[in-house]
Amino acid sequence: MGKSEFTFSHDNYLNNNTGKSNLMSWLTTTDHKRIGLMYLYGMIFFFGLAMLIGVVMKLEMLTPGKTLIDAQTYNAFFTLHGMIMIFLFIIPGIPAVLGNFIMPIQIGAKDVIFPRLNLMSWYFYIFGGIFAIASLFLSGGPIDTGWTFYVPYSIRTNTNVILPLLGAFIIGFSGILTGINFVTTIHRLRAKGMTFFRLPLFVWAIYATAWIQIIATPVVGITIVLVIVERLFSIGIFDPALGGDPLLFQHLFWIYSHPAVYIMILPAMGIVSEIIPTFAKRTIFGYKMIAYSSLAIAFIGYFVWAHHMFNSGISDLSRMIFSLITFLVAIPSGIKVFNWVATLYKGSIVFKTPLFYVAMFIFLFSIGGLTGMITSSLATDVHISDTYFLVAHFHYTMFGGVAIIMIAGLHYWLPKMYGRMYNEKLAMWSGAIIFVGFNLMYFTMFILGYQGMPRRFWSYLPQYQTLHIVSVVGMVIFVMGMIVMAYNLIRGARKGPIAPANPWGGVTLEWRIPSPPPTLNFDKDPVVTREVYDFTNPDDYGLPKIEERGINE
Amino acid sequence: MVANTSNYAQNVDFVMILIVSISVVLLLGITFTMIYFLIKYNHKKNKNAAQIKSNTLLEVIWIVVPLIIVMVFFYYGYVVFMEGRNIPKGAMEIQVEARMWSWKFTYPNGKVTDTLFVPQGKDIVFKITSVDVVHSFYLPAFRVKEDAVSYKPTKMFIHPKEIGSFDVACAEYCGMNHSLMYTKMYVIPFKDYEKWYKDKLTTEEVLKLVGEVSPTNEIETGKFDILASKGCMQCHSLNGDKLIGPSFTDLSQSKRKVKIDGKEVEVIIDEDYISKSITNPSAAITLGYERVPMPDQMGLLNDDELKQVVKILMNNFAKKQ
Repeated sequence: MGKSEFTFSHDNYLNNNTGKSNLMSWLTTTDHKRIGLMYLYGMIFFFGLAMLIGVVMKLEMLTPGKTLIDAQTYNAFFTLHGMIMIFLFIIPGIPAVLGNFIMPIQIGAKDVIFPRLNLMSWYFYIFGGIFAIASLFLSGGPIDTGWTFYVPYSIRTNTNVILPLLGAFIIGFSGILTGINFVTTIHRLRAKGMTFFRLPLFVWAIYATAWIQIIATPVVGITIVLVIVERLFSIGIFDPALGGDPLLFQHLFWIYSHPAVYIMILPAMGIVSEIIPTFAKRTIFGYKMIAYSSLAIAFIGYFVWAHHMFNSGISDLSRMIFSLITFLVAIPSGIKVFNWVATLYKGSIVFKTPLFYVAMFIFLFSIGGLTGMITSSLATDVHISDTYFLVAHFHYTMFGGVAIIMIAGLHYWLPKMYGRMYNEKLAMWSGAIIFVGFNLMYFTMFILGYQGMPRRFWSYLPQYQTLHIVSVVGMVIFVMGMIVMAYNLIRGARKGPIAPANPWGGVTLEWRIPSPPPTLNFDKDPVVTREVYDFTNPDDYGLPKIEERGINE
Repeated sequence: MVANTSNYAQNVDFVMILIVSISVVLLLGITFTMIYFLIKYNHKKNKNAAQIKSNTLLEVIWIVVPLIIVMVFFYYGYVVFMEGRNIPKGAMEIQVEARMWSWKFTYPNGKVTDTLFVPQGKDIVFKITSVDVVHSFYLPAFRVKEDAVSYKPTKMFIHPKEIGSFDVACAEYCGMNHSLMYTKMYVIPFKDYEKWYKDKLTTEEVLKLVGEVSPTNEIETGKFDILASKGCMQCHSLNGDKLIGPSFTDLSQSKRKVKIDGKEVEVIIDEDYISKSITNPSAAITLGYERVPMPDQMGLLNDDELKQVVKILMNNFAKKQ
């Protein structure tokens, strides 16, 4: 964390001038940029752990019966893999790391509006994370319910359910507080002249996301409390043996967890809308359509939750209605993809790593979205729900969509965050390896699923083995790519060559300040006089020109 | 690749092919346009970018065209789905009962099996329930599944066309042995089915007719068939291996430390203890096996079967003196 090997002499947020020890200066910081980095380090840890668990799970799939671990361990592993990836990585991921770091600078603010609340959210996140994984080391064993915690199983299993549930509850608060912080910041702290329709699209996406976090997260909080109460006091809320209704749980759970999918993907879409104009050197195509489609996705996303329950015994009428609305969500997502591709038209494109990842994203996310049609259609969903097809579908949207763009964002903003550059060649190669491995690993799962291989299966029928082995090979390639990518970024952040303030020729405000940014971001309050993504005269952007200062070569 | 097991399954595959083929066109269209732009408008060839802000006609087109496409997908998905939901009158009703981690099928005349037999070319409706957690009754070859919930029965319909044996899986995660909750469904000619149904043909004879060996051919159990078919052996080994529950070896007459109401007690395993452990498994739990509770077995075994299981365990798994 921020070692003194940095040689930037200008005042910047990485310098410790608090008079405290270096570690304490980080743990007590209220600087949005430092908090963003602390989230990043937390997330790298949790992501690494969950990926390691995923690797063991995949290796277990090499043979039909037992390969490495027993059934109980496998069940705990897929539960923890899902819980950690969803609650500790992909939901908070982009908003907490890049939203925290970049969004205030992009709107011309010195910090978020509630900096101390921001730090508190980070502590909630860390404590929630510790709760979630503590069950690994306690007697009774780690939670084995799946990340969906379906009752009555979650009421009846003897493993540690309450602790991880409390973890998810606490992390939920972290999300709600961050959401409130961001919405208020975007409303109150925009620089002079920064109207809503001059906001960068990343800010629009963070704004829509923050609202979902505020409105949807309490529902899962309540649901979690009810499950805990039912486990502790045997009150019949969800367990039919006690007079409860298990479908009530599924409704409550998905009323949160479906909008949560959009909490994950919207910020990623925002980053795509940042990267494409910067590297195509032209204004984004259909700014308003992209901004409004974020809001449309956030809104329609509330009314589709029961498509997770097409086989659960809900009425045929509900199935029909939820199928119809689910198909409608495809429209705003489609609008975005078409506008992004159109933005490349007649651009002057510089093809660098961030844009390479965005191109991969458009391909992978299109597959994720188009297979979403198969899961929305009633006839086909009945067959493929709860199979490997679904596992493939959501990994294409969640990894191919969100995580790929998180990686793109880290490549894009790394020079801003650390003032240093990674190795471009290595970055391109690792991206290509990840792409090949990912497709090999997950595309096979579409086929497995359509052939009828159910998910969450520790053991499987021998006829599925060949495809499983192909998928494991893909996993190995994928993991190698991930390791090279992470190595390159970490090395770049620590020892990479010094990066200029604006290495890509971007026009949003973060490229108008030195790298790493000064503690208070702007020496002078910026005044915005023109539209965002205006490349007509990029050097004149309503801000005093920054000299490349403060760098000790 | 299109399933021939039933008309419904065929139609599902048709919807699948429809969506996939249009999707492939869209995917390739998007990808190749993107790659074309990336190459054609590279800054080396195109120094100055055109600042095009938007085009209303284009925006309208890419709202309306996808809207039409998804409505077509929705329509076919819905229509085919409803085909499987309109259950003809007079369909034969089979009760499906799911438990951790086995299936039980009850036929209209009260016949009970753990592998499923259905006649070819007839309407069959499954009434699905669970005795414990949520399960899902899944027939991959027929492209159907429906959850089993304990408080209200759900329905699922098939009209099998093809004779053969098909996998039955549980598709809703239900704990420890979820992935072992497999059984078979045999579609047999109606004539044979009638004979079997009226107990004029044994299960083995019927299976021979359709070219199958034995419903539990993967497990060599011999005289302990019932232990396998009722699912006991998923958790209790016959050879001393420690699975999720204690092994059956050296069971009867042995001294065991168990927990009753949270207190440690030493018991000697006798007929009475075994019988109670099956009907009320959580009353006494062997030390070291508290992690996964044994599911309630009420209703899985009738009185005769219970006696048979107790007898097998008493006589064949006695502690050697």
